[in-house]
Amino acid sequence: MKIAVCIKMMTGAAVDAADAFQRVGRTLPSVLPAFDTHAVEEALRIRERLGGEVVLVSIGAREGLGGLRQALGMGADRAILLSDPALADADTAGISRVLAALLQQEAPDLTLFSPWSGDIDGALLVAMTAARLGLPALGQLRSLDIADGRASGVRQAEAGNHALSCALPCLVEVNDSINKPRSVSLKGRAQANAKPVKLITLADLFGDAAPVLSQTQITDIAPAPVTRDPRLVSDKEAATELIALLRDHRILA
Amino acid sequence: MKALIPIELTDGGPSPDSLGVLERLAGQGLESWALVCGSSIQEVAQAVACHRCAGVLVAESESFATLAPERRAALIGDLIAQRGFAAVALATSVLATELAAQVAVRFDASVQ
Repeated sequence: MKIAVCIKMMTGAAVDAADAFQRVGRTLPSVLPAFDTHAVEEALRIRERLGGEVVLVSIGAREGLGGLRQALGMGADRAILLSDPALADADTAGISRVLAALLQQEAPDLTLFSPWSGDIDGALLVAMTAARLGLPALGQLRSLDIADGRASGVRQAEAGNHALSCALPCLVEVNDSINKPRSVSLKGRAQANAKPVKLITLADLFGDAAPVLSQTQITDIAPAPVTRDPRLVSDKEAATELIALLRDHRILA
Repeated sequence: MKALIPIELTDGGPSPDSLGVLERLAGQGLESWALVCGSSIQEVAQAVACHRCAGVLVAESESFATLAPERRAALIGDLIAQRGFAAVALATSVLATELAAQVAVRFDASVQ
């Protein structure tokens, strides 16, 4: 079984204002986002059970190699990094066009995502990419089973859990409660440097006909407004005050 | 500008978040139309109609019982083509994310 894991690299440090506007082309050294380690772990467990290979797929600046080496150190077999200056401000729709083309070329049986990247959270990429490929997608799974040519699992949604299933090939988004990712061993770290990483550009996928990469623009970045009104209650009266507050907010009857 | 707001159902009624989006867009002066899909949804549609909006579109069919977004995305696509909606706004949820993605790809549009 060929399993692709899509990874969005995240900068390990605070980004400056100019870099923050670059949704993809951030130039600071990257780390493997914690959310993505769960997708990598799930892929490794499936490979251990069913055989095959785990291919990491990432779109971003070349500085993303550091994060990819971390995932290779966990046990993935190889990586593909699509890096192109034209992608610096690509939006989710643009990235889904590129990712769909990349996955079409690679043709995995199963493609894993995490729903959040840790910096820009939309959880839209898996559904948009799947729609472009004409493949089924299972979003936000907290369990995943691959058997008899199908992927099945339980999705955690606002109103409860959904049991979902679809035929392979498909795209699956796994959340952070699905497993406990392994840590990278010293041996794994050493082996990671010897594993193949293929660097490609947009021209390798599209030739001269580059797709539309951004239909949206970040026009401003500002801290989230504080909407809560914190209130301190005294130790002595805490229980009474808290019960009254919960009643005021209709949390308690 | 005309906006379409698909109303998500929770516990058999309209989700408060969806109604919040509807109210908010109507409050901004947009011609906001609610869309309610499902079976036996007349009461839900009437409840939605009590909120500020230009009107409620009702799509009554058992086929909307599925969680898969394709059927709803196709309907929204038809409504955009026939009635000239300029924007589709959804309250954030797991199901809304999949629906938004399907509609966006259908129209080669982006999602904010």
